[in-house]
Amino acid sequence: MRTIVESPIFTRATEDKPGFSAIADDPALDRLPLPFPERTDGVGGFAQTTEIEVIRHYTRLSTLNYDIDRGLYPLGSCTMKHNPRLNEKVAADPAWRDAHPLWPSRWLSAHHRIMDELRRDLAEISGFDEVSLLPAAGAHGELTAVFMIRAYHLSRGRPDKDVFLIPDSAHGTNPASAAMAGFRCIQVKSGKDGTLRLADLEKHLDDRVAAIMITNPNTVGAYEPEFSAIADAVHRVGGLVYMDGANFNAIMGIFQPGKIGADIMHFNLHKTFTTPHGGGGPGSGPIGFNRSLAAFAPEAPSPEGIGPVKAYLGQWGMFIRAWTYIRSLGGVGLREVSEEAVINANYLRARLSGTLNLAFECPSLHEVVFTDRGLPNGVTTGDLGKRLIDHGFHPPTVYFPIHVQGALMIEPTETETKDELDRFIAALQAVVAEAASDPEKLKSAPHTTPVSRVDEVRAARTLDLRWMPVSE
Amino acid sequence: MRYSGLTPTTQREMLQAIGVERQESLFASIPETCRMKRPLDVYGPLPESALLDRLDGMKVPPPRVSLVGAGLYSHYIPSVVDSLVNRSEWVTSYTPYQPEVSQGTLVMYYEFQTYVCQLTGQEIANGGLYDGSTALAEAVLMAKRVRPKAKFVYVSESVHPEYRAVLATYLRFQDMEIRVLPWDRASGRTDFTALTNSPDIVAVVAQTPNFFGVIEDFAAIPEGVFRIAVVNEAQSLALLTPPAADITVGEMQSLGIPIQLGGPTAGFFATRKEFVRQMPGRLVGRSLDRHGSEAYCITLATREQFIRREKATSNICTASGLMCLRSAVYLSLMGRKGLQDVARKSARAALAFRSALAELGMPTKFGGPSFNEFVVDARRRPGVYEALEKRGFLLGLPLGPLYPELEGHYLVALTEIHYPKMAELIGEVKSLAHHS
Repeated sequence: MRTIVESPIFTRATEDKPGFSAIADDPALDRLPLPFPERTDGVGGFAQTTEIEVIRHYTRLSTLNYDIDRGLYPLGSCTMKHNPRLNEKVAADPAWRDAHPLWPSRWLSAHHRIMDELRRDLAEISGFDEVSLLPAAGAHGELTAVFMIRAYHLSRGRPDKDVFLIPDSAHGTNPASAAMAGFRCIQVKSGKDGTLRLADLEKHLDDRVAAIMITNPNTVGAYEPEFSAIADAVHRVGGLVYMDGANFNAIMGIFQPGKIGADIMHFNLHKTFTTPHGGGGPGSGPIGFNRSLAAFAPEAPSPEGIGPVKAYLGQWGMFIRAWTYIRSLGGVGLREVSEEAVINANYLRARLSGTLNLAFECPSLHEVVFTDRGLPNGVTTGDLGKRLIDHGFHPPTVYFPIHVQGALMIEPTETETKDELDRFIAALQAVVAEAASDPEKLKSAPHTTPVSRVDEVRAARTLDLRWMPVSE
Repeated sequence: MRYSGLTPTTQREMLQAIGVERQESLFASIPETCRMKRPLDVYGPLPESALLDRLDGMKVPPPRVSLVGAGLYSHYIPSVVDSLVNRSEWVTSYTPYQPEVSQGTLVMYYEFQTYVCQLTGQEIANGGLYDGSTALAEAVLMAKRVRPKAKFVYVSESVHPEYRAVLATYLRFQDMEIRVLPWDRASGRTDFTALTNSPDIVAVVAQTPNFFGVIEDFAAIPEGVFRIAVVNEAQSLALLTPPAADITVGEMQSLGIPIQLGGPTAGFFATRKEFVRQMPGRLVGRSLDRHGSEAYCITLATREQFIRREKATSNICTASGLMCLRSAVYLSLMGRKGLQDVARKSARAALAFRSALAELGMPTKFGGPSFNEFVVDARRRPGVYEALEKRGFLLGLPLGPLYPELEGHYLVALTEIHYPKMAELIGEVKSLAHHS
């Protein structure tokens, strides 16, 4: 029997329930008249429930989600790996969790020590001179870097440097961030093998280039073989090299971006450093950068510093998790993480190559991208992904990167066992076999979930974005 | 190694399946000259118990009493919140791009959007942003999309100083200019009298209760000017009439989210329906599945970076889902009555404390009405703040470093947590004030 979707809690609003109370009344204090009129609409429509109703509602809702603790979550470029419980325990400790950033610094010395150590560790792991922990997520780190790049060129009297070169394989956040500092984005085509070629780039390299944004390993999971040569060429025209660190899980201890041509990069603590993804955040997106950019950092005391990009000190809750994770593994352990992430991806690639067509033949690091070219009966990547759900797995990333037709992007991460990978491979092979034998089964999938395919066109047309009492 | 899934045996089998002898071969695409030739120099590996010992050894005892608010407030978080929010299905799931396996998260976002609308009195809200400060920056960027020809952003000086600094960063490379609106020295409210409706104005930004804790009067803003309201202490919305604004943004922290040194928290963003296509961030909508059952999904994604790229309304991707969940659970548990009760207790704790301070020669600075935070003038009682701090009692935030003319003044916040302890708190201040 299908589980029924749990409706929003507002349907349980009944006025005669008391609401939660944790604090006893004090009649003397309660005689004090409030210095303002209370709002007359009385926070209309609020839920009014009992504790067990709230517990059941959010417990039932939670069971409608897929999560890492249930199984492999093969989203390419998202690095959905195991979130160690030790990190969660440490972050929840009131001694760390309940500190206020505006307390006098002597009350925060331990917090600052952990942040200093994390900055130092991230600098070592990435090869950059300095690290700012402030940005709240990966895209926010990109934005911070884009601001710093603008400030750098302005300080050199170059407001005309207004072009960002962005490969067609880039995350959408790259051009979106660049646009927020007024840069024009020029899309650079990837070569036939899925990687960038300096020769293809050269026609765009002129005096107006402010920076290039390169994801390395890129979003097809390949090392950019001409990375350093491209970096040199961009530097020659006075541009900077931004490295998108989304795929950092493949390279810890393997190479240091700061030493091979990148000027600035963001980390995703919620990908590489195991802080949980939480159904869409919170993340944390520190940036590493070389000395030449230090004067422009958010924390830089110079007038050229861009200023803060977020109030307070950054995503502390993620810092202490990442600090704990790094120390749990040590330097050798971090390198093994990357090595095993790469083994797992290549194992999937090898076992699935007879089942699906590779988007590119270039060697894979931590993830592999297939295409829906050649699937029978008009079955698409989206259909494959939806049918995988019936076989017990979350779909891989679909239709990204956008320069691949029907992309199916798989990143297993190092925390999966061979057994789990074998189960996933078997499931995907079964689904592809069904594409030939019973394509309708795929096109109408999933069949085992609380809801079937959702009418997204209707959602955009009706725009029902909030619950309303029926009477309104 | 500790969290990896491979054993030496499976590793060997897998390399064989791949067709390489050594794992090093898998990295052959990386030029030798680019490779690291030494192990990473980071501390570890440490087993779990040793790490916990190390962390325990680093801890510094916290202050006994903190009356520091200034945008982040210590409200009581019921046990139910942590117990529910820590479930794997919330913590270890991804952004709900696949609605069939994410209905839990999607319904939660829909509830969060609803709660934000109910609190702010706005028609629509998004599924949250990083925090209040970045939500403000996004609000001004949206106002500019609505009024592309305008140039000036009027920002009240009584908006949180860190929020103003973040806004200045975001606008640094935009065709906009910030102009400062002063506050009235007697009431502590923003002085809007210099403002007239003009097509040059992108927006006017004010906070309520403002940084000094004083409730602003948005009706004093001239008709027709695009108004952005910032709410730092979201709990105030349980009792106060929401500001009449075109966009209301703010911080959800005080509704079920621990302070965590200021992050992560969650920002909220609410506005009128007519601006829905200009909004930043994720939106969840109610729809139907192919069998006609109620179902939820991300909608209007055509505004977002992964579809629209450089033309997106914002670059935001990962936002603050788990913190939004905290707020949704908190508000569902409290209900309207519970929330209003807590808000009244916070306000009354502040009232009792401010009159006690006034009796001790430390009057409240501003005459405007406040919710649970106020500025105290302690210039006639020098040394009291320092003496209290020595005993682990933080009287508030010293304002001199932020507003030089408020040297010797402190920003003091109380919540329902302090309400049962008023006699002790007042007694402790009294014992020291008499000695100064």
